[in-house]
Amino acid sequence: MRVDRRDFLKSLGIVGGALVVGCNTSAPEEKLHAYLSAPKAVVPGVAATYATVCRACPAGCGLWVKTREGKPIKLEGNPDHPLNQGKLCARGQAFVQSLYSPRRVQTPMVRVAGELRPASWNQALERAAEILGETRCAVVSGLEQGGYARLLQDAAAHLGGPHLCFEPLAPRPLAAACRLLFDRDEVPVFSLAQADQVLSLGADFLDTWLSPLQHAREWAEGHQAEQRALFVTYLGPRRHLTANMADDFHPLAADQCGPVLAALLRAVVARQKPTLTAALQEALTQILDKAPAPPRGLSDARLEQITDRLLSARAPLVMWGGPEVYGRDATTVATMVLLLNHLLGAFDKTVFLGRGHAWSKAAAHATVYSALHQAAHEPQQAVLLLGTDPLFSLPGGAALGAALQKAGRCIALAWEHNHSTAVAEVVLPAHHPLESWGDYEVERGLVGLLQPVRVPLYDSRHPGDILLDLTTRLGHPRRLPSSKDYVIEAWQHRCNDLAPNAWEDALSAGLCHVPAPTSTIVPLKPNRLHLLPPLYAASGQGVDLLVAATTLLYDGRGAGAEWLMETPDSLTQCAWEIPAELSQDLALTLNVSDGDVVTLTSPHAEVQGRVLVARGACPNTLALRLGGEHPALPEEVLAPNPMRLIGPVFDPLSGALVWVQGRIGMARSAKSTLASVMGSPHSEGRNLCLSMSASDFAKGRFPRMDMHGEVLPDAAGNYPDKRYAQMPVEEIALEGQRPANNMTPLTEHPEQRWGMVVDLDRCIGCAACVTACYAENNIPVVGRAEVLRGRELSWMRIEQHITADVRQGQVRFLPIMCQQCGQAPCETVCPVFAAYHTPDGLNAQVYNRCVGTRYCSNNCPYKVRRFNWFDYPRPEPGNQQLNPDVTVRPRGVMEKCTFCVHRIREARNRAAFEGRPLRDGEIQPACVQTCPTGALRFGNFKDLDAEATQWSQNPRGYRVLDYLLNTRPGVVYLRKVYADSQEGQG
Amino acid sequence: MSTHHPQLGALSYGQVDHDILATLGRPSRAYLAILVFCFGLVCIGAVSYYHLLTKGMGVTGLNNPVGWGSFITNFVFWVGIGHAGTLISAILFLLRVPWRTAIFRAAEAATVFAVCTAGLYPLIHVGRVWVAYYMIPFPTGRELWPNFRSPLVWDLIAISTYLTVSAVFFYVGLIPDIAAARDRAKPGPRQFILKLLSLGWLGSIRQWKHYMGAYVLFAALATPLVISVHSVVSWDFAMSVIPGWHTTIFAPYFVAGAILSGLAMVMTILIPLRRVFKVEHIIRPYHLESMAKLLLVTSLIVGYAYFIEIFIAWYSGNPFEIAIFKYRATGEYAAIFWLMVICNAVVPLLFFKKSIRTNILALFIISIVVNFGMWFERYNIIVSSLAHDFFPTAWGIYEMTPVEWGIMLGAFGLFFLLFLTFVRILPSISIAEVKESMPHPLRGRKR
Repeated sequence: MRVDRRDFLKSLGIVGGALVVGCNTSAPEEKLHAYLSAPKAVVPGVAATYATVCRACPAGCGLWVKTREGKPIKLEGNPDHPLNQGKLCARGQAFVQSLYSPRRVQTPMVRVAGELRPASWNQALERAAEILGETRCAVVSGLEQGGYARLLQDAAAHLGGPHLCFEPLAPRPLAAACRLLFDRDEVPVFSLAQADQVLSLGADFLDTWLSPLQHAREWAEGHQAEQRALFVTYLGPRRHLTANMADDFHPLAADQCGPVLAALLRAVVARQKPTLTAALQEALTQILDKAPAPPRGLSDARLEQITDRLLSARAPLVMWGGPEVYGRDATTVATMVLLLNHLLGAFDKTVFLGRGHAWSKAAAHATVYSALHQAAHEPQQAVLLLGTDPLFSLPGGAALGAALQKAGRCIALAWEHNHSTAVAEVVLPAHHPLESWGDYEVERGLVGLLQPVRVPLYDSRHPGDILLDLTTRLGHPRRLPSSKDYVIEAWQHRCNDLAPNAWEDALSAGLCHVPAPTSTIVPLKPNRLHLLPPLYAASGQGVDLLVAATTLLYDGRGAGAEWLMETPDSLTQCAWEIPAELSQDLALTLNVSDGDVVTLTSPHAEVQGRVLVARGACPNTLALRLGGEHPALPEEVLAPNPMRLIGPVFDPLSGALVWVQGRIGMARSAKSTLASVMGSPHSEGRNLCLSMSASDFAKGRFPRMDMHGEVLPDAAGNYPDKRYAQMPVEEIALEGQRPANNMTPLTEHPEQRWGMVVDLDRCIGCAACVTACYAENNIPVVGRAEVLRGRELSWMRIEQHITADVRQGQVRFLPIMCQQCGQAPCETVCPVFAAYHTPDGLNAQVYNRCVGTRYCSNNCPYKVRRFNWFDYPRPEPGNQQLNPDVTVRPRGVMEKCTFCVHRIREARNRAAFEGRPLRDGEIQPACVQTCPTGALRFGNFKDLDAEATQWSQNPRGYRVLDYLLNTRPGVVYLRKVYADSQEGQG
Repeated sequence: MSTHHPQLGALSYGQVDHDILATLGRPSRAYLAILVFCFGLVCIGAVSYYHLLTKGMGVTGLNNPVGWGSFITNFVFWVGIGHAGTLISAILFLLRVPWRTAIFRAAEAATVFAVCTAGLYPLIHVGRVWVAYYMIPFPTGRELWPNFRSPLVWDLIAISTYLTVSAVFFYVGLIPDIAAARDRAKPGPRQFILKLLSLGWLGSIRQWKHYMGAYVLFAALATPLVISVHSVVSWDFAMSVIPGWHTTIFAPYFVAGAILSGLAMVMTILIPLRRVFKVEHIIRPYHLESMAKLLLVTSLIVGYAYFIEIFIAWYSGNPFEIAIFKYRATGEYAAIFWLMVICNAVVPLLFFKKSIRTNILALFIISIVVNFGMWFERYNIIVSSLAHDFFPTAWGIYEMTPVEWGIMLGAFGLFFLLFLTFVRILPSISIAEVKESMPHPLRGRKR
């Protein structure tokens, strides 16, 4: 056969084409379509933000939900909301993960022959209506307010039962004490905004107590180093973040809060006796008679100091509360707290009544327990659980659950599968709060509005609408057609705004704020104080069990979000671990160390947990965090649920759960390892995390450091060594390099030099920044096994340092992210310029160019670079949360903090488009944006007027390891200023 | 002539030809068994690497502070092994050291194969081997070049240069011997290949003249590379900021260590080789003793480096430096540290005693001890420094995983597989140079 050139080329083309077509079949083509007609407010590539309310805890902070192409990708604080003012805690940041939870209830389910089977909406509703038709049903929801709460009340009335707002951390004893003293069933509002002396007895107001983010913000305002107006004394059984940040911290057994308060009351009465009214005197006698014993574990001198501080304060505040201290005598102690505040004149300065705090509506544990118990054991009773999981959060939950499942009179409306849906007869998929209409009244007059920010992910319905449907099926007419109408009605009633676009405006603002009624001092009505039980002291053999609520896991619900488990707790430095925190003396007696598995026994259960030896905990205590045995936790997280160790014992006066129930047995059982992200907390004199005493700060004695340690100036401000005199403060703080130390030309930053200032004095270790970074930058979650191998991928970490000046087991926190060095060790060693220096002072990392030699990470003195050891799975629907502005990094490349370079570039482009220079504060990396205490500030160090630049010149400023390596970091740290040592400490 | 070998008096040229080319004869069962064993090791390595390639670097024990582990340890180890050959063949050639002739061929072969083995490791080690070519300087439309400030790029250039020059030098030295093998080969493909490789070598005076000129030239070219290549490898560490790495002593320290390990490996190979191939009369105790002396000298240098490193850390008063040396001696990797000191700086001191350095069994055992010691040295330097650097909070521990053991065994298998194949195909002792070093009176005697 003769083939000429043309034939050859033709056949080549045909064969080639066939090959191309053939090869393509294996991978189906996926196309991205632009919207043919885009929905209103959706511009492809541009984020749309909607305002709503955070429902991660009952505090009710305002949210801005950032959506891209109709999908929420990031939650941010609503800057206009008076509570959080643009800040958000770690749980708020992770709230978006519960929307995309793999445990979402996707279809209605009905129990058939003992097993939950998918059913149609109609079948499921019919079955539910059948149950409800034969019974009286209690509606148990989370803490709800406003129109939605009204709907629930209406529905509950139709169903013949009460509506109960179940919150595990409900401060019922305070409400009960208020009722006894002031005849008002409400939880007062505690505010640190005006306070100058705060005494907290167990109340972890920076962690979880009442409205932690608001407290943290107020604390930071009052406690700033330059104008310190606030002094915090903390007495309590456990060292949590609040205790750790206290200016004066002393461990105190849980049962000693009452005696301490009694002693304080006596001291205050002794000084104020002549001015006391008869009612007050009577109340005091009633109370103090119940507290004969002097406090243990606190010296008289110490007590006197505290009393003096409180008495001399302009606006004192005494706080008490939290599961660690709610004992059998909780109402008595709460009454003492309110009385002490009353005597100190704290009301209307720091404690406010009559504001209608949302927490006031939280039901007593006893009521919820009995509703569940009745549904389980009485044929005429049923229970409808609405997004809440009391079987997880109440003692005796397992037994109740088994009985409920057997009885078959439990209906669960939930967006996530949990312990309660597992036993329900009917499970109805409810909208997530981010998919729902709603409202939440934090305080009277401060109404947050919830709006759906995405199309429902699954075949779910608004829980209010489901209830309306059910009541309609039972023959009760609807007062209003839908839950949205209830919300609008309540909004109209409360805000009474008649402007034409008022509703739209309120929605886009996310709240409506009508001035709250100014509270007046409510007269004491101490007519039922004789009911109060006497103070109670722990007795018996064993270890004091403390049930602990923590910043990340809160009442346990945090364990459902991967980010919150992956974010290491700042105090334990453990990720994917809910350890059993043992006091140091117990660890010695039992001869256990970190990671050992111990068996804990109480009359109610026997559980196992991994030990973490807690510094600064009260002797003979074991703290167990809420969150253990959460259904989302993988098995390797050996985390017991503390609620299993205590029994359903309730305070008869307040109905609150008695959390501090007594002693448990403990035995060592096996060796294991804690999934800690920390090497060693001891700084070994390396000048990494620096602080100075308040007296040195007041005298302007700012230490300088070199390789061998810190040096203080003499009284005249001169340094003993010539070297220090030669190095002006400005040079430490300002961008400016020491040319003599350089071999290579210095990096030029013509217009911008992005920098950050980290005020260690303000960092409380809440880890909101770390979680925000996970959310913003598509950082994969690696899980416990990989954390154990040291492969966590967080771009930012809150380090724990034990330095020479810390006392009572306290630690210092040092947030470490990429320092964006002016002379970065990582940049020179990268063989392919994947790590390079941008003209605006960033150490950029080009993922596409990265070969993965890991040399940059080795050479990074701050160890902030993270390597993708694997391809990390991002299963549906969690991948919908990914931020499209940030590359998802493949296996084998290095990554690290970018100062949120996509935000910088976006702002720069916007400014260029609008033909104006960049404004200071226009750019905020995710961590800076969310930091509740404002410890992080970001800006252009070339702009001398920028806020960050101003802060960087603070004489407290230093750059980590710059003194040794001349790396010229773009992050300036400001020393912590600690209170001078108190007498009796050590 | 000074190159005359004092102890080859009893041999004839024909006997030399015969005895050396006899090594290329029918392989023994033992040889085949070892060959199969080595191939098995290579298979283990290949499977391990496949696992690594498909799953990701996470199958190793590496973690956040410790980004370099067994792969870089092995890389430096093999580059070090690759030092003795060129040292013996080039530097000792230029210095006209008499004991070189009998052993340099095997040493050179070991060099080339060791560097080949070493060269695999950076590729195994990088996270994305499919883009590893980014490190090679080549012009593209994007005008992207590698970062010439990075020691890794220097390393790439140094190693590839070294490999090229040693391979060419090795080949040039082989030409007369290939011709000798060709002359004895039966017609067939083997003879054809040998014909091609011998480049028409006839052994004429003219060819010898050019040949010797070229050989000296290559020897002169290779000599600085012996020093440079391991200096550059050491700069991978010395150019960083990490305490325990950032030291000016690293270049001479590494070169001495490399020669030590290279000599030890050559000794480990030669001692069984001379026995198996029955060439004990050509590679005599004299040769081994001479190597032992050189090994002793380098061991002393290495021991000095160990000491001076610690001394300088203490003398500098730098807490970071002091901490890392304390850690090496007392931390999790203390066993490795002390094994390193004992194997490299203490055990070779036995060579001060003549009866030990002339005892073949002792030489063999000590050479193996030094091999282990040098591996420990690299592991100690690389891993311990990374595990405990500036931030105590970020400290971490690294341990090798089965995958890394598999790849390491595979590399050893590959090296010995290549070497064993070589000794069966080409003369592992230089026929030409052995003859050259024989005393005058034997010249001119007919075969």
